[in-house]
Amino acid sequence: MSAELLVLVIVIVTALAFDFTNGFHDTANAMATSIATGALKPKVAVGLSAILNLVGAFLSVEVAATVAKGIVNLKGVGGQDLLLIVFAGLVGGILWNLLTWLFGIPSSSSHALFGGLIGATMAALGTSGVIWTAGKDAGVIGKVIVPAVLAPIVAALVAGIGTWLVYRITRKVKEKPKEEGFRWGQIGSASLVSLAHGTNDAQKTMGVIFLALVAHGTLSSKDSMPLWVMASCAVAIALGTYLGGWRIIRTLGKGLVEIESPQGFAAETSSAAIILTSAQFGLPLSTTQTATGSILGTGLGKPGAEVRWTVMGRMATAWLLTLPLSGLVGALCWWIAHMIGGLPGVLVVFAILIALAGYMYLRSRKNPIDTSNVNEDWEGGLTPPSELDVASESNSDSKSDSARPAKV
Amino acid sequence: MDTFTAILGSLGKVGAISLILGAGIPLVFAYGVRFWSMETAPAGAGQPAGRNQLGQALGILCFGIVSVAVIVGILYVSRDFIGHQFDLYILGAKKK
Repeated sequence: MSAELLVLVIVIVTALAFDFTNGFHDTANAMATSIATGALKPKVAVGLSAILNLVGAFLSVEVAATVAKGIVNLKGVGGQDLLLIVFAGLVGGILWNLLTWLFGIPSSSSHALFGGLIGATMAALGTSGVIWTAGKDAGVIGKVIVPAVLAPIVAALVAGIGTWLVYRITRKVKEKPKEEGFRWGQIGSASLVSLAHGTNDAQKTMGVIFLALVAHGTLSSKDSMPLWVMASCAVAIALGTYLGGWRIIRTLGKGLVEIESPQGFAAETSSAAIILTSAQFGLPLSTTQTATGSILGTGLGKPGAEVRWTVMGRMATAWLLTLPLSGLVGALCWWIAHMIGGLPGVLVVFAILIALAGYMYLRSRKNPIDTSNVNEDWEGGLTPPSELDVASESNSDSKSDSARPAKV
Repeated sequence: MDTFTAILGSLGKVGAISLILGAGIPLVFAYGVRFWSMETAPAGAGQPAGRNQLGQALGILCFGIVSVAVIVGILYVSRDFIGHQFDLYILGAKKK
């Protein structure tokens, strides 16, 4: 296997890894509310979402050989240079996705990828490689910053009004039929969000892999998308979705607002409506920010509901840092790979990626969140109370064994 | 400045359509739940309350409207795919 081919394989593997993180990072957007209200059992929810993502991915047609079109200008570069930029950008995106997942914060996977690519492009070509502003739906301002700022506001407004109406109309309905009725509505609207996610997000990775194949010379940009690229991207995002991203699901379903099924339904319907229609009217709003804003809105719209603003503040901070930090990582990775040069450079960065990913996975095992504890009460933080008990028990065990009754 | 006004224009449209669909569908669905759970007055002491026929019919109508919206949503997501496979261009699908 030649060095060029090996680099191509590593880039494709990294792109699929990004697609996988994209899957589990965004499961919460569609399913957090259904899991929190008990409309669906956790495993059923992620299974349904995974299948819809898989189907959605195959609905993508005519994916172009582009990556972050309108955000970075990579027309002048080709071959190994282009592969290196794309690779460094992907690594930046993956690491930011993993870090935010570790802290249980929903953040846009697309923005993480854009950030990584912007950083790598700036390192390679200087600031001229980045399209900062170019009208209302291109450039960093129009495609990333404006949608990210507006999405939560529009979504919170729509979901807030929807929630208020729903509670107002059904205030005389008994609790049981109300809960049951809205559970069904919730499942329907959440499914629509999952399907749209598969179509939009898997398509982005397909574009990245296609671009890499063109850069390597395996394909020309006139070729059609090979089936194996579509299939592997579809499977990667579906597997990621099925894995679940329970830390983020917990934050969105339990942390931000305590959700009942009428609220979950209003939130998912608002998300679905905005995600499906905003692009049509020239202002595509970010999925993650829309979903988060919708859930926030249901907390504002239901009389007497509580919104945990500290949780919202942490998310907003993470959103502000997404572009700069994933960009910094992308730039550093490009620089390391470029300094070492060729295949060894790519291998070193790949090794760094694996080491950091492994480290974050191990850190996550200190307060694991899975189907068993994802819905526990939110008591001051992401870590479920049962895990806190375990931690404090093991601490006190070492201090005063005799003071505690023996466990049977 | 042009960009700013263009964004404001799009924002107005997106806001309006999102509000109509994103709050309108929950509104219809909520009426569905309310009608569906309507009960007739109990016939006598100790008798259980019966189902209200008119309520049931109106409930089904509301759920039907919501179902149509969901189906249109699914078709919208798959519009390009349908266009490609069946030469049927709906909901603004891109031509081949």
